[in-house]
Amino acid sequence: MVKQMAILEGIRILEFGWAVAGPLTTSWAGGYGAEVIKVETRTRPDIIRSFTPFKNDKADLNNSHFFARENATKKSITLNLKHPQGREVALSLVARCDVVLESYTSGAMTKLGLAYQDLVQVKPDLIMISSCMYGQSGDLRSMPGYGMPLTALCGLTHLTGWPDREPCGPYGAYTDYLVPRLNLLAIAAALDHRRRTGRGVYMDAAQLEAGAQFVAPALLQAALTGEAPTRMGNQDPQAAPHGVYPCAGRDRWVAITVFSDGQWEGLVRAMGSPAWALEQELAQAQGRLARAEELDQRIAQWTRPQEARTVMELLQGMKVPAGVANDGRDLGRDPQIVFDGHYARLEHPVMGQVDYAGHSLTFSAAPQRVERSPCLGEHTREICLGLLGMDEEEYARLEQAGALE
Amino acid sequence: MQQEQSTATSFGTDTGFLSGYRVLELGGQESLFAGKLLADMGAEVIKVEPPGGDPARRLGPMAPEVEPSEAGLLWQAMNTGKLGVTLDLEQATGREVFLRLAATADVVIESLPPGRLGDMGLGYDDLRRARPELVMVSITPFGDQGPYRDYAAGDLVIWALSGLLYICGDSDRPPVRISLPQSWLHAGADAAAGAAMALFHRGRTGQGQRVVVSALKAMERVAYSSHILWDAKGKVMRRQGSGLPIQPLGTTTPIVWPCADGFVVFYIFGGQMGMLSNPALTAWMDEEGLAPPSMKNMDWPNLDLGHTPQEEADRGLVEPVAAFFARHTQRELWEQGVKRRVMVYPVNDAHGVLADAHLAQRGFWVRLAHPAFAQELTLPGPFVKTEEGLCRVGGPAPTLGQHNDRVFAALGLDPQRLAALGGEGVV
Repeated sequence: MVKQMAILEGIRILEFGWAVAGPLTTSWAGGYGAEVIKVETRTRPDIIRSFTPFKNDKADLNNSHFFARENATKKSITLNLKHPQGREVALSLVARCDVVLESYTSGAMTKLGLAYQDLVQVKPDLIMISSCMYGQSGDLRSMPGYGMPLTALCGLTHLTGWPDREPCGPYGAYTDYLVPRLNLLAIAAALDHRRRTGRGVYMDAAQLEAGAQFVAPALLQAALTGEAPTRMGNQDPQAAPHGVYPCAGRDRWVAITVFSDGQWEGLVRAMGSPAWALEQELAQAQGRLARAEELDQRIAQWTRPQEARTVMELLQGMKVPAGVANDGRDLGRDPQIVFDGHYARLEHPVMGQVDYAGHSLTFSAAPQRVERSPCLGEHTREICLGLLGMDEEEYARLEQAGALE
Repeated sequence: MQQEQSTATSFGTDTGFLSGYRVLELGGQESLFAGKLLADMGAEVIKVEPPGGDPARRLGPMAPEVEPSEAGLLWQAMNTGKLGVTLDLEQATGREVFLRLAATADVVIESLPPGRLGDMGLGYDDLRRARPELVMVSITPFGDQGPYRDYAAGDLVIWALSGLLYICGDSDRPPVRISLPQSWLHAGADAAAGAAMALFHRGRTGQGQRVVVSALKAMERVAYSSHILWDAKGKVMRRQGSGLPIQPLGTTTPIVWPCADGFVVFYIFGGQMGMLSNPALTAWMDEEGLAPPSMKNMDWPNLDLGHTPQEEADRGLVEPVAAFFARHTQRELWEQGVKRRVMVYPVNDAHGVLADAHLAQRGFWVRLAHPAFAQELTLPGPFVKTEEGLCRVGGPAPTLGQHNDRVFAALGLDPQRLAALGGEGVV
């Protein structure tokens, strides 16, 4: 008869988010049971609401698949924070929240009269995290930015691509997808700290500094040896073969990586033990590394006529790390992703059926729950009349005054 | 890099977010970052290694002229603030000691192949008998259930299956990953968040639990565009190198541009987003006589790249901007760009990151003295700043077995017994 308590049940998070890194943080927290309220405005809607792809190519603030994916499991209230009464509503929300996350440019919350020192007046043990590009101090703090350049600034773009070419960088706004993980850790740790000490906290989370954590070995190497590592395609300095090989069909690939002599033996067996692969020199890592390029060509000859999944299954049967390079279509039918129920297909009032991706954690004490993303201001009335206890008259007055835009 | 951040050199300070918690970390490279992050947050993290050392100690890059067991720089970067003990879990006495250690722990983070600990009698149910409120976090490639459960994996294979690999790289070459393993960092950060959430949950319910991290699912989130393009339009997203095509015409403009001494990132946004940079860039180019009429007369708020033919975009925008960038160094473009609010950014290599003036102003870097290194180690500081210093980078990575005496003695193993275990190769 023990009631299952969601991991973050009873925790209310108020989000002043923008684009991806902030909103994705709270979306994941929502999946683990927090009640998330996203504060938006019609005067300047969250930019991600206008990002493609749109359902049926129809550009509409409630029709972006991109917004939907990163904003599951939260409510949306519209407030004009530049309106004095809009700000008042925001403050009464803060008073009822445990955590405030904001991801505006540094200084924006202060200009709105919503800095941490303003908010603790109404919520003394508030946990607040500012997740902006460069942090709250330093010359760059108010410089605009977005995920792609941030990926370049922290050294990751330089490390992606082919040694004989300009860097191509990882796809898109890469840092936007590492920052929320660290934000979520910070919020969870701060909640437990508050539970144990009764104290709230203000956290300055610079996305650039989060990104630097993901290149730490390269930074240490450069500082220590004077040598900055560079991009090397798909090679690994200690493992060969280690690459992505062509398969049958248009633009189909399989990744194969050999980290041990045993895995090499498995690969050789899978290829039918051709004479070239039985050379004694190749039985050890050093010999394979010395002839990595040749091995890549040989293996590509072997994979080219085969289906990527056939190669993967055959190699996995031999305990060799191998995986299909899944494309957008494959993901929805990948056996493990299907088994995990990673995509929840939910009905959205404007978009119809939409796939919502889950997060990576499975807690034994309570399941993750993914709810569809909100339309702009969908919960304004519900929150005002419910959580904030307004009567109809007061609500109408605020609406008329433009505070709820 | 004038202002240095002061670092905690002693363990067990009571000033971190997660101070007072004990975490055991067991496994190879997959779990290093999770343990390091929890140590940053103030937990006491004990890295448990086999007597010969975690193989992750020997992963590259390696520092020259340092003894091999300490020379691994991934190791040094990802083990700060931890205590280190050695314990042979292949031996019954080693497992016995581990159970006693687990009885003192709040969290066990492990990244052994799914089921391996259970086979050794050290699975969640075994450990729970020793410590009923234990939180156990398992970092796995594909989860602990399902068709891929026992599949072999590494960083590149996870990139592949997650969908991320397929959309990265130049279109005329195979898909390509970042040349520095990332999967375990994403999964590790999630694992640390999972541990903190489970501790919070335990604090409110008295209930421990098991948390499983799937690196596949973690990385699928990074491949964000791939699945939604299929879901929205039934189209397969393809890799575009360093250009960005805009529909409906698919007009592609660069993201990465050559400059006089390297590369910079700049994107010619259309519409309101472009108003942030494009007029200021045009004015800057004009000062050097390099702004063509196509840019000077542009109605920037109404620039719609998706409806601009490729040739027109190339001639009117891309070529003049490329010519301008080619005349300037990374540093000139970045410094002037900041002044003029033109969103042009350097493609930094590691030296560029280390030299970043803003990070120095924020006192970001930490320097640690390690007994095996002649020089200090320079590492990223805390990922989140608080006035109270509740997150901070601890001391250098433990040397092999550095804290055996301290940790095992606290378990009540007397020095004689400890010496005997050493003789048997258990610790």
